[in-house]
Amino acid sequence: MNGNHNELEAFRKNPNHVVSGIYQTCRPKFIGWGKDATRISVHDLADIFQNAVIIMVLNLESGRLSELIGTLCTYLFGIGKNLVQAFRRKQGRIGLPGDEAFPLTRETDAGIEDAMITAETDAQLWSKVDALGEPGRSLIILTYKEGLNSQEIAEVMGYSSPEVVRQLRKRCLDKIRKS
Amino acid sequence: MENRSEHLLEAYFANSLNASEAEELNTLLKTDPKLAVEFRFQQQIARTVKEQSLRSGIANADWAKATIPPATEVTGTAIKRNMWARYLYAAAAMITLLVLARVYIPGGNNGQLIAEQTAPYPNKMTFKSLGGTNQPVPPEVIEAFSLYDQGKYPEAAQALGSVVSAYPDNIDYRFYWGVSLVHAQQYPGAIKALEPISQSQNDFKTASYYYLGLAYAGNKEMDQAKSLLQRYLDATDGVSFRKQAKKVLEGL
Repeated sequence: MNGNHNELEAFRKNPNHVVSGIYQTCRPKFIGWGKDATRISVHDLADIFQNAVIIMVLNLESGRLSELIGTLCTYLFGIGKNLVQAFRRKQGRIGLPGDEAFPLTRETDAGIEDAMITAETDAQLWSKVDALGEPGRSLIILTYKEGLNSQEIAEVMGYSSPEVVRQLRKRCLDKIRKS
Repeated sequence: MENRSEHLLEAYFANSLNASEAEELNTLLKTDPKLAVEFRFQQQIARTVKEQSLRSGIANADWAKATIPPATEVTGTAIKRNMWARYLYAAAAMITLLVLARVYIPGGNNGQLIAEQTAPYPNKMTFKSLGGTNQPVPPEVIEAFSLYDQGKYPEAAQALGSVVSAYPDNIDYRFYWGVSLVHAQQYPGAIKALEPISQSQNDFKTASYYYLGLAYAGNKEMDQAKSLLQRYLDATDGVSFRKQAKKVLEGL
């Protein structure tokens, strides 16, 4: 058993202890790196790091993370860098009709079919997303909330290719539509 | 759905559409009703998941609890513990000062408001995009836009100022010069740079209203600022910084 495997074992036995160590030692490193390499604020970097920790735990729970090549901190940096890329893209995004910053006009409104979709409340729709369970639920959040592309999701969730992510997302969307 | 449409939708939700792809998607949405319905469906999902957290997907309650960060305040290089009381006092003092400044100094906190609401404008120059123009681009232009991309606005403003002097007919360069000056809070210079664009038929005309409005507000020319920000909000060709423009307008 090597040292890296020990980190995963230690997490399984005492998650609080391991994560607390990560917050004490790895988070300052990540924030220090982020401050130098990006223009993202310290608090946003802390949020990004926290999401990286959650994704790491989701991957452990699903079995997608069963072996570490480096340390847990290196692994978290890998996830965090993908989240940082997505975060930076959000800041320079181009709007389209339907965006918060770009309301629908008569010309851009898709019409009756659209109205039928929006009649479904957000709460109803969320219960369908939630009912997907893992990994679909996380995949939807990473795509539509965090703004990660398929390549980045494949990297952070440990899938073999972006195509696998696309197929999985397509199945999730079909399920939400039909449920 | 066509692969191309799927690619554009993915790029849209990953915020990586460039200007020409955004235009292409916009056109497809107007001509392909199925795609428009799919787009709205995914937009609704995006709105729905906005407030949701990844953490609730963790089934093991102990593991989920472990991911909650310790009650510490984050700073750039270190984490300070148990500082809440001091921060609360400091925050209360700051709020009092801001209230007093608001009461006794008309427009006293506009500088902060303007700086906070100055959104970065993406670099849309074609030489930046893959497959862009084949025309050779002078190294000083590349260097100036590189500073702009890095968010080094005072340096970018200086470098782009030289570029604009060398290429006075290129109105695109002038626009990015003006935006850099607004970010660098060099408002009189920004007004000089952006005024001709607001009176042109250039693609950046609408965006220039927003930045010029901010520049006039920073220069304490409130009537001009209000008029330009309102013109920006009234524009019919789509505006990206509606929320920011509204906030500044309400604060003036």
